[in-house]
Amino acid sequence: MLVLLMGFVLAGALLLWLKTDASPALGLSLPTELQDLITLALSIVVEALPFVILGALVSVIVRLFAPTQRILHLLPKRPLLRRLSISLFGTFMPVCECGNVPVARGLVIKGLSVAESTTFLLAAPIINPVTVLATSQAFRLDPSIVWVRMGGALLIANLVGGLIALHKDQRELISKGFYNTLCEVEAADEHHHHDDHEHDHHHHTSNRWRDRWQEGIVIFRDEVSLMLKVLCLGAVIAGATQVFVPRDVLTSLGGDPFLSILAMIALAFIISICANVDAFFALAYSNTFTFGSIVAFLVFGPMIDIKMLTMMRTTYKVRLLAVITLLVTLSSILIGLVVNYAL
Amino acid sequence: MRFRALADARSVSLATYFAVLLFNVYTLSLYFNQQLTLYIHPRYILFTVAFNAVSLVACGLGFVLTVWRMGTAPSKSGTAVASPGSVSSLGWRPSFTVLVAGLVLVAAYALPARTLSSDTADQRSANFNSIEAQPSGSGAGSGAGSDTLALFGAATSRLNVAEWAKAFNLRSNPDAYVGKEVDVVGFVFHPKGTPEDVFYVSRFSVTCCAVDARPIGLPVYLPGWQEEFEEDSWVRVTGSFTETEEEIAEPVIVAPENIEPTEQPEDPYVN
Repeated sequence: MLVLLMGFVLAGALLLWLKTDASPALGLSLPTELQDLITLALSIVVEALPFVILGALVSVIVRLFAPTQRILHLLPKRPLLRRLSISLFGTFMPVCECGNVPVARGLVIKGLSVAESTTFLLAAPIINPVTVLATSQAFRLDPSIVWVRMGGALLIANLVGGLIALHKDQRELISKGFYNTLCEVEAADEHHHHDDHEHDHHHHTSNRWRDRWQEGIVIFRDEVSLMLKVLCLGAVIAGATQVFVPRDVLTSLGGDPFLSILAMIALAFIISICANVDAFFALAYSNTFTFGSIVAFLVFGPMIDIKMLTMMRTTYKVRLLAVITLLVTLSSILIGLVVNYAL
Repeated sequence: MRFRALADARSVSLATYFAVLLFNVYTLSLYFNQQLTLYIHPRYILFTVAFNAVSLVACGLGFVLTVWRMGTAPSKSGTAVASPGSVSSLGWRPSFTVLVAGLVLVAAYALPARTLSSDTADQRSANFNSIEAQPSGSGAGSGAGSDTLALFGAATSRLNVAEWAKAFNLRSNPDAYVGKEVDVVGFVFHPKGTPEDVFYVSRFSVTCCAVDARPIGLPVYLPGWQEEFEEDSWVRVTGSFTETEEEIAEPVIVAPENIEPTEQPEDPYVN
């Protein structure tokens, strides 16, 4: 054990030394493409990390402290209304999409079906207050875009949720790793119940609280580290695509009412930008690209992109992700076309 | 496979805390070295620092608790606290994602913090007129643009590239600009399709993080600039606006009085 601890201390010291002294001295000069790739990847990680941490904290609260059972109990029983209410959960969560994956996992652990969790996951990043505020700030000259965006998100989320709900065995859609977590949590819950019966409540209240905080830290660690891993992967892929795929391939298509939509959706997929800030990014394209394609970008981006898919992969099966991606893509294109041709 | 041997649940638990801590320490060290703005927009600094600090405390506590528990109860494995959850479900092995995350960490610590290079500027502006930047600060404060315009009466030489770009967006009448003094720092940049005698003194504008950085710039009229300045080198341009016949999108062009090479500023992006 001591050896292990020494190892940590040494590794930490080495990295700190690299950070403070060595990195300028080594004067490593990488090819500019590689350097830009690293800068872009790090900027995504640094930018998204606090959102991941916030999301993990919300997830801890949902799993340990929130009266989730009571809230879930209050939900309408009819599936359609139930999903509609769930798709509105995001209004109370100022977390963008990377933070929502751990929250969605927490909700499934609390007993939501996979269909319901995806409804939440698809709608939440767009109807959350921060995103709404950012979008209305960015498009002050064109406030209608906020409503189209929110409406589109709720529509797609409920549509996709409704279709997934048709699948009989919801647990079949969960990834292996997350399925194991579910089973462990259930086993642990039963364990807790036994404890409750065996021991006197009053004696153990303080203990229970301490246990809960410690359990909270463990959940926090697991959620953050899991999201961080896939975030790094997504960031590297997004950075590489930005550096190596010329943007003019995408932007030369900007004026075409149909191709511009495809281009903006492809762009949203590649850059994997957070929903809380993507409106400002989209703004930069609003002069060159059709209005419908901007809407498609704003609806599609928070739901599906490289980073989101890698993160959702921790929880859902690839087959399910393929179906969701297809459905979201098609409906986003449709919404874009309606805006371009009918409005 | 010494890793395997070491990888009992608690070592993995420690290593996980440690890895998260490394990311937090990296981000906070960027803050203390004032390099956070190389990666993200200043408006996220407080948010980023605060939540990394929270994570630092939580994971530091978790790390210490795990070590402490190792010391006190070496044989008693997995209490209700340590076990449900997950270490095993993470299936710790040096998987592909762990390797990538490790590489990102090494790159983060081993390489000096850098801005985006001009290659990316080229790639991004080939199709965007560099001045099409919208009032990017609009999220932060309402009327940032009108504040800029209000400054017109006073010392316009204090305005930076981004503030001029915002002004151009709000008011395109050349009369508003002609004769105003300009004193800006940026890199020399010649987007595709720009007239030969014109270059742009440019900066990257960042709204969220370096991922969405886009170049913006002021046009400068200087026949033969190619012989004096290398593209992408940093310069300080002083002069004043005049009307122009050159085919550019901006209402006016800078007639330079002086252009001198300069160092890349500490905060190379503008907002």
